Amino acid sequence: MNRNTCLVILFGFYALGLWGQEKTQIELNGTADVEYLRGGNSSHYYLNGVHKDLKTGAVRPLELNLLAKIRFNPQLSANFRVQMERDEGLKFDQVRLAQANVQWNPQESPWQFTAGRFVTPFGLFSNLQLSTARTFVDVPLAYGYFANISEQIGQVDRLGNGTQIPINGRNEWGIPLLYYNGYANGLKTRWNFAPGKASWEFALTTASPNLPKNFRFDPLNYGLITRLKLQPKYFWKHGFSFSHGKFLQADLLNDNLIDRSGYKQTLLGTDFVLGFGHFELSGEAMGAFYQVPTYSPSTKKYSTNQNFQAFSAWVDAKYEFPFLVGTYAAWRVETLQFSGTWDEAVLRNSVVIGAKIKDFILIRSAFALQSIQHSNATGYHAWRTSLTLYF
Amino acid sequence: MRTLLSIFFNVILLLNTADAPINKNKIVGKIAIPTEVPLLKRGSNQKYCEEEPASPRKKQIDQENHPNRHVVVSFHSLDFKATISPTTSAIMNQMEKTFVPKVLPITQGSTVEFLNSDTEVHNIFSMTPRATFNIGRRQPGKSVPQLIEKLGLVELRCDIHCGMNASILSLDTPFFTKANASGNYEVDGLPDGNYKVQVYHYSLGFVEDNITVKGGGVVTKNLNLVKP
Repeated sequence: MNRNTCLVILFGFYALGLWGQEKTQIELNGTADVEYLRGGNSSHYYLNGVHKDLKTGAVRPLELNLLAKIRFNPQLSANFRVQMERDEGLKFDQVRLAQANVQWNPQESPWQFTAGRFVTPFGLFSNLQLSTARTFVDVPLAYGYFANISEQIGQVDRLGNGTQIPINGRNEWGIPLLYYNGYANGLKTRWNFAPGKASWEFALTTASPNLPKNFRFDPLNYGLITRLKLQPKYFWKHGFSFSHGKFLQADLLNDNLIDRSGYKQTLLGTDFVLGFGHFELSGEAMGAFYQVPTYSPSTKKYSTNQNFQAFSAWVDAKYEFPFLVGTYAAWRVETLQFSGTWDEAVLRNSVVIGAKIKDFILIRSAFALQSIQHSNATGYHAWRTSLTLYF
Repeated sequence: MRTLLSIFFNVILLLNTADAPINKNKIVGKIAIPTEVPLLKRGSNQKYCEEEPASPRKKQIDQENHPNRHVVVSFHSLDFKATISPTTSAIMNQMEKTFVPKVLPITQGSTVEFLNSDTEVHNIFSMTPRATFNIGRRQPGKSVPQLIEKLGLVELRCDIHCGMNASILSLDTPFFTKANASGNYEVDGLPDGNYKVQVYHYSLGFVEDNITVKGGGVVTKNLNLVKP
C-alpha cells in the first residue's frame, strides 16, 4: 500500500475521533526495532529470513510500528497499526496499514464484532505480531518459510530456488502456510461464551490466511477462519483453528487457466500454552491442504486440481531468570514437512537470550540452525540480535 | 570528650522533643478530577490489545477500578520526619485480568501480598529501578508476598495479559488516604506544622502543593487535577 495512503487513512480516523464525541479517547503506542543479522552461505530471506546481501553481517532497521486505538465510547472503538519493514528483508521502504478496523462490543453482551483489517484468528502466533510480544526475533517456519506454492501460478517444483519465474519484476518464491504479518480483511465475531474458560472466533475474509497481498479484493476469493480457545486448567490454554479459502491473485501467467477458482487452502491447527512459575511451554501444529494447479515452466501449461499437503509444528520452551528480572532464555524446535516431493522438509533449532533492560527497551540475541532435506547447502544458520524500543 | 558530646546531643534531642507538635489536626477537602481519562494513556504493555467481550463482573471491576476512583492524597511533613509503620493488609489482587486496586498506597517498607483471584495464571513483574521483581506464574487462590523497600511509584505489569497494569505508591508518611468517588477526602491526626501535599492519579501523575496546620483544628484543602 502507498505510504501516503496509509498516513491519510490513519490521520483521517484520528481526526474523526477528535471530532466525534467529547468522550473519545485515543491511545497511541509505537515500536522501533533495529537488528544485527548474519547468516550462512545459503541464506535467503524466503528460507531463513536473512537476505543474501546481508549474510556477511549488517545492522539494519527491522520494523517500525505506530499503533492507535480510538475509543469513541465504551462500546465502539477503531484500531490501527501502520507498519514499516524491509522489503524482502533488504530495503527499509515497505509501509503497510497492518490493522484498520472498527470494533463493537455491545453492552452486557458476550459478543464482539470487528469489521475491516484485523489480525487473523487462526493460530497462536498470529496474535504475537509485535516484536515485544515475541520470544524470538524470527517467526516460526509455518509463517516465514516460503513453500513451492504461488498465489499466481499454483505449485511449481523448486520455485525460486532453481525454477525462476519472474512476476512483477521479481522471481516468484511461493508463499508460507500462513502469512507472517497475520492480517486479514473482512468481518470477525467473537463469542465469549464461558468467560475465563472458553471463547470462539469466526471470520469471513477476502482470502485464505496464507495470502500476503490480501488487500486486493478478488471476487473469486473468500476465506472462512475460525478458532476455539479453551482453558482446561489454570496453567493450560488450548486452541483449535480451522480455515478454508481461496487465494488466487490474477496474473498474465494464469490468464489461460480455464478454471481460475481452484487455488484453495484448508488449514487445521491446534496450539497450547502451559505456564507455571518462571517456565512456559508453548507450541503449535498445523496441517495445510491445498487444491491448486501445477504449472510446468517448460511447457507453460497447467494441470488443474492437484492436491498437496504440508505439515508444520513448533515448540517453545522459555525460562525467565527470577534472579535477573527481565531476562529469559528459550529454545525452539520446529519442522515443516511436505507430502510427496513437491517441496523439501525443513528442520530448525533456535535458541534465544532476551533482556528487558528498561520498561521500554528489549534486547534479544537468537541463533538458529536449519537444515533442508536433499540440500547440499549447509549454510542456512542465522544470527539475529535485535534492539526494540517502545512506548 | 565523648561523654560531653553525648550529653550535648541528648539535650538537643530533648529540646526537639519538647518542641514537637502535639496538636492533632484534620484536613478535609475535595479533589477536582477530570471526568474523562486524558488523551494519551500509558501502560498498554505493547501487544495487540484486542479487547474481549467483557463479562458483567469485568465491567463492574473496571468501573470500580477506574483511575478516578484511586486518587491518593498524602501529606509529607516539612518540619519533622514522621514515624511510619508497615501498612497492614496491603493486597494487590488480580481479578478478570485486572489489577485491583489500580493504585495501592502503602508506607515504605511494607509487604504487599499479590493475590491471584482469577482462574488463570498471571506473570507479575516490575521493572521500576530499585524495585525490580518477577513473581512468576502463580496458582489461582495463592498469594505471594513482596517487600517494597523503594520510595515512590512501583509500576506493575503482567507479561501475559495486555493492558494489565497498576501502581504501588510507596510513601514516607503515615498521613495518606484515597479520595472517594466524588473526590472528597479526609486525613486525621496530623501534628502542627508545614506539609507538602501530594496528589497522585494513575493517568495524570502527581500534583503538589503546600499547607500549614496548627491548633488541632479542621483545615480544608481543595485540590485540582483539572488542567485549565
